[in-house]
Amino acid sequence: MKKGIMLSCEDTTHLVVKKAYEKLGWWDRMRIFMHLSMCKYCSLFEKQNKFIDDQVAKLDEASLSKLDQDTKAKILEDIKK
Amino acid sequence: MSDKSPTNNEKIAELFKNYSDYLYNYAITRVNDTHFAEDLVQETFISALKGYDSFQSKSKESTWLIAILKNKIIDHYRKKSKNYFQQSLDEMQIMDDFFNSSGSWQTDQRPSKWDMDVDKAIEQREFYEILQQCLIRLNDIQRMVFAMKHLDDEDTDEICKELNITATNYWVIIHRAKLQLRKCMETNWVKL
Repeated sequence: MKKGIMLSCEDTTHLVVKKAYEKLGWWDRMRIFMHLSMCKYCSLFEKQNKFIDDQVAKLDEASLSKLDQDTKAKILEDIKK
Repeated sequence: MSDKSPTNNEKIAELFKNYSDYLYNYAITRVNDTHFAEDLVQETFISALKGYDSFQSKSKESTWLIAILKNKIIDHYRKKSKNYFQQSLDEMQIMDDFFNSSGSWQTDQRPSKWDMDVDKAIEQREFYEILQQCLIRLNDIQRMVFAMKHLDDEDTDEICKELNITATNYWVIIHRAKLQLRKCMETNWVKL
């Protein structure tokens, strides 16, 4: 990652992702702010990344995939052997 | 298992009734293989039956079963190869082409604007199905790290230790996984 104030899109998205989990230093926050204020693609990335994070957290609860009844019966038989 | 009392068998059957779908769903989001996910559920309940006497209801039944299942998933990846996660990481870095050599978005990879109203604009179930499919399509290391962080809510240090990866690699994996997921959602969900 470059040391200067101007970050690339690659470095910005990297820091944006990291920021969702950890508190960054003021310098990194400043650099992100600078880049996002000028780059609409990275701004969209930040917004959409946040949205996906919020939704993914609900995924295990949504319990979309289920075992079919035959497979369940077979597994239950095998467990009891 | 003739030495097992019928009560343990009955209890496990009850647990199976209540949690088999939950465990299956948990497994499939992490291993990307339906048959293997079924095997994992089966093995989890076999281990649960063996260990039932030592399970003292100290934790919730579902938490206990998930812990058994999760260990089996991590063991599976560890057994495949000592360097399995390293290989998966190398493969991941070769595959992606989000940015050009100066670090700007490639023209065809730039994010588009989304209408993000999940509740109204689309059917919720469809949305989560696509999200799960996108998660399943990540490569093994990305999927596993992502699931441990977002679904199991584990510490970064803990994940690095369990999967034997460095903190630097961890952030590369998460960054790349997020780029992939976003791209996959844009392609498959967002109606442009």
